[in-house]
Amino acid sequence: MITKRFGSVFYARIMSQYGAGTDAADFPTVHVLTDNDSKYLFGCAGVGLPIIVFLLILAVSGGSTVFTVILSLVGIVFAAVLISSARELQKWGPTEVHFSQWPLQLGSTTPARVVRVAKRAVPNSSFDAEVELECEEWVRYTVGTDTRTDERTVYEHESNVAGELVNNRFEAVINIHIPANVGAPTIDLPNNKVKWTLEIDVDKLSPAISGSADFDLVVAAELDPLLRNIQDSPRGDLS
Amino acid sequence: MNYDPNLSIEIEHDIAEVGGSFVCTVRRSPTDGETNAKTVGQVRAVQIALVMTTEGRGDVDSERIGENSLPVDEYGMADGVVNLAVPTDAPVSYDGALIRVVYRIEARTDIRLGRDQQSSAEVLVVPVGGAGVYRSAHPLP
Repeated sequence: MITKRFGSVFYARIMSQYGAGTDAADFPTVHVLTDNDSKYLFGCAGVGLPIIVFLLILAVSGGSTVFTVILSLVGIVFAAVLISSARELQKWGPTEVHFSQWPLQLGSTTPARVVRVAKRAVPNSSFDAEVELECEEWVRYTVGTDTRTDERTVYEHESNVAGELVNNRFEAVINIHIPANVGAPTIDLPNNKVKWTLEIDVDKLSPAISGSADFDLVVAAELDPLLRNIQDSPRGDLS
Repeated sequence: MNYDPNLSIEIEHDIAEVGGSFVCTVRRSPTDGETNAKTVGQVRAVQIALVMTTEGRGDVDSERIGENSLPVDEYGMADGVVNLAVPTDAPVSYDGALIRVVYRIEARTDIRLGRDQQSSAEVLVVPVGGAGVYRSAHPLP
């Protein structure tokens, strides 16, 4: 994880990029999120498969046909997950998102770079990546002795961005816009939460790079300076 | 909730940014029954706090933030200015689909061997930079 702070100089640079429309890839990274789903799946399947095999041996030796069939099917699924995640780990490093601002602000548009590095040589090419930003309210409530949860998506935005696979490195620049008129800053209370997630999917258009990655974003309770009413604000010096 | 007509809260600005604070004047005058010799010293203090509560579908999450205590005289009279800070990681006032986050300033009289009484006033906690922009809970219209 990289964490650097550039303060107002950094912000001035970002603002000038919007205005002048210069190369969006040229921005500093202040925070990196890494997706480790493949490692997680590999670990789960790696632990689960021996257990399933052990149970399968017991079922076969016990002569239980029903359990043998069920455990065989579960074992096949675990093996498939193990093989596909192992192949994924051999071929590609984790998907990373390099943010030019962190945490994100309400009403802001933040350029970010999606990066995935190949571990083996792959031909150069261009791809589109599908990016989905979602804000969700999550609640937990009790009914009698049951505990239940409910979720509601309050904001959803999909977009496609062009990416390049050059020198074994896939890279795409995305602009993440956090609206101020819908959703809320991240809330993390025991029974009430507001979560922001970013899903990046590049496998639909390309057989060379596969997999989707989910990232939990942090949206701060802070308005983008462009939305602040400096004159009316008693804390107008914040900009 | 009991409302104490003898306990008043005056808030300088009823909107504060996350990381900011509410400045309020709290006054308590003794009730008719508190001025005789038997009840002298019965009111121990007036406690003031910023209270965050969730409403809506989920179970209630509630927190008393920055509790302050105002001294009272022997007849239960109190008059003072209290500063209640809003932590930088506090959720903002929010009016969502399943969740509402509401804030209120609550003043409570601590009465010995008696039922505590309280008064409260609803306030707004808004994002940093939003004090001049918000008129109601997030999100912006």
